[in-house]
Amino acid sequence: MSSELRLVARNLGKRYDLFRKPAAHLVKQFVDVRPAREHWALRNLDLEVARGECIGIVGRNGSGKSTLLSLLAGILKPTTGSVEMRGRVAALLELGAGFHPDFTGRENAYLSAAVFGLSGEEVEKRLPSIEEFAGIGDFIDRPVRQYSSGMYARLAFAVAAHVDADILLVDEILGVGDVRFQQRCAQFIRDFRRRGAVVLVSHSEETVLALCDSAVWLADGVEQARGTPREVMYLYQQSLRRQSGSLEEEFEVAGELTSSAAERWRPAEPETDRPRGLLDFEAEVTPTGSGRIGPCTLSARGEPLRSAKGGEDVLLRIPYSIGQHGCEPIVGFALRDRMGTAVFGADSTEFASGPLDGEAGEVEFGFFLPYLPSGAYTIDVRLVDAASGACLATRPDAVLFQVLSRHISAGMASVAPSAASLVVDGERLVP
Amino acid sequence: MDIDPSLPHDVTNLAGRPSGRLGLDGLVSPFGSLLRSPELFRRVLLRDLESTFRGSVLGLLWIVLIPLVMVALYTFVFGVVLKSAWVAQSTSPLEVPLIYFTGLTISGFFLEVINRAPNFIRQHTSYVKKVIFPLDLLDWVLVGTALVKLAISFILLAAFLAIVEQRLPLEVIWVPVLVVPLAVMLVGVAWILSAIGTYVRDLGHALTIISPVIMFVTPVFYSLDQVPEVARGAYLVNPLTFVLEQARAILFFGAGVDWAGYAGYWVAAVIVFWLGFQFFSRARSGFADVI
Repeated sequence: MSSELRLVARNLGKRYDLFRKPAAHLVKQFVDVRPAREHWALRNLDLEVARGECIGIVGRNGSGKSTLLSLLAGILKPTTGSVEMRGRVAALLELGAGFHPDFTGRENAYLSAAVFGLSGEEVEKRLPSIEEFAGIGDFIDRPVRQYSSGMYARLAFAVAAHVDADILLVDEILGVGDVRFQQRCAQFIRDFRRRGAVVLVSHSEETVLALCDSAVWLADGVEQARGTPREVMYLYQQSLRRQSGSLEEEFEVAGELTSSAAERWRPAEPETDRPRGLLDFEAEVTPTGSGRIGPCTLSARGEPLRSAKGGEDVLLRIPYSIGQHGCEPIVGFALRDRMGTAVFGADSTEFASGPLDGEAGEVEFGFFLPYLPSGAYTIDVRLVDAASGACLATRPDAVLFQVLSRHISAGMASVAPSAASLVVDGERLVP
Repeated sequence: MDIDPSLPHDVTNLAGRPSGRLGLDGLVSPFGSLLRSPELFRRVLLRDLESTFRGSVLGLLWIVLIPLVMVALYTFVFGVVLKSAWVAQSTSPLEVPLIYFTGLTISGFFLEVINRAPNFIRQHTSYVKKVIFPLDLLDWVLVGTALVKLAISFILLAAFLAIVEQRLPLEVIWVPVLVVPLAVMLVGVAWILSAIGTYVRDLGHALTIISPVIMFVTPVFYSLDQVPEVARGAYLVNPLTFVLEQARAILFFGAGVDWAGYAGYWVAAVIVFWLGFQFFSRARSGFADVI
């Protein structure tokens, strides 16, 4: 039964012929015409997915990931090779594709479900569950043009999650919505994997590591590597690092991260009487801009750390300058996860008895990196004047690094227990 | 797990289709999408019908209101200002507006499909690029929407006829019989126009110029008898001529169906339909590349 379900692509390739006139495209469907220019979006790719598998496709923008998904879905016609498909396919290339803004969420859900091949009766039965999943309340009966983008995405995904499909093709849709919604989407894909197969396109490493059994890395339409997600991610990251090493590049890798981190920086709220310790990283600050924080580095054993497993002894180096006299600078940092939550932090008062002297300097923090869940993390650095309490400078994403680890199944962090005992019915079993 | 190999989501069906394969497969598949996805057809049709009027105060009432206003206008111009030949022939002066109504709704049906077809696929970009969708179904929807409006108009017509003639106008049931081959032909025409229009945007503009021309070379405001003998042959090429002449003859002048002509009409309709599907099948694989 399960052996029937599979998706096999052989020697798949897609060439876009670029003509000067669009009419030539039409002629090309009937007779061979030489195009003005050719562009190969994908070349010679083999892919096989069976029930219970989830394959991640990674690569930068324009590397052919989405082209591949469209080919698998049959939306694009392959130039070379073929796609063989046993089972029903659901393609989630865009959330809410085909939604009409003037129609209510319910009406759009019905049509969307019909596009996925559900009958009216089936939708009727699943609608309560769809509504529950979407969690948009009364908005279900309002036109979707009144929806926030998050509600729109939630409804669209809710419909897709109630479709009978054997093979799910997902394109970069897990980056939308709030945390809870993202978590539900991820959980849905994990559940779906038990009964079907998934091909997932993402440039979020965290998603790929968390959900996929194997991964394929594409660059310029050509397969670069394939293997376990960890191996592929490692190679992919290395190439990104080689290519530029610039900050922008890093941020493209984790585009979602920067946006979620940025959301944390809401406009300053009115001052409260709360003592503003430097390490109150939950407080909103507006830097005065008189200070400067230089490019920071995080290293382990003298090598820059981009990808950690946890348990490393790391060194965070923060160069800074003040730019004005009479300050009592304190430098501090907080390590934040992709949702912007501060996991831990420290500041220079912990080892220097008072504020730092001089106008410019460098602070080094050495610490033991705890076992953290897989994902992207940032280090948020602040420079504060202890005398006035003013924040002189901030560098919200001073360091960006990944943790690739499966040490943690639940919770925010893990410890390596140094001692444990087990007592059952008064009898000590361990140690 | 039983998997129907002909499911719309079966990709080998779509991507692996050998281009231009004729024979039995070609004869069956024009209805394939419609038969496989009746629910989808129904939903998209409803959406298409409603989306035009959604948000307006009168809503679907417009579907009734528009033909009513149109017929009043045309009756005034062609029945009162310019005296037409039918005034003399008809039994009641009140019949004349209904004669116009018949001609206008049938030709309106034709023109609506012709005018919307070139841009119809483009208007549903997300169905082309973002979801797995049987695109040939869109042209069924296009014709279906126009047919629903035509049906409403004919229900109105039947009601008016009953009032004017003080009897049950049973001959109205022949109108759908006449319209079916026209609709079948139009699906084929829509396939061709929508496929070309997807690649070449000019077609939509060209048709806005051409459709008034079609309107005037169609015997809507006059009967075929008024056309000079020499030009009459050209009128018979126009697919509307036969349907209009027949519908008027049956509804107002007590004639029966010209079965020989009707059979010939069906043959032509099926040929256009089939050619349209062949054309669409080959052209559609490139839609996603150009939209």
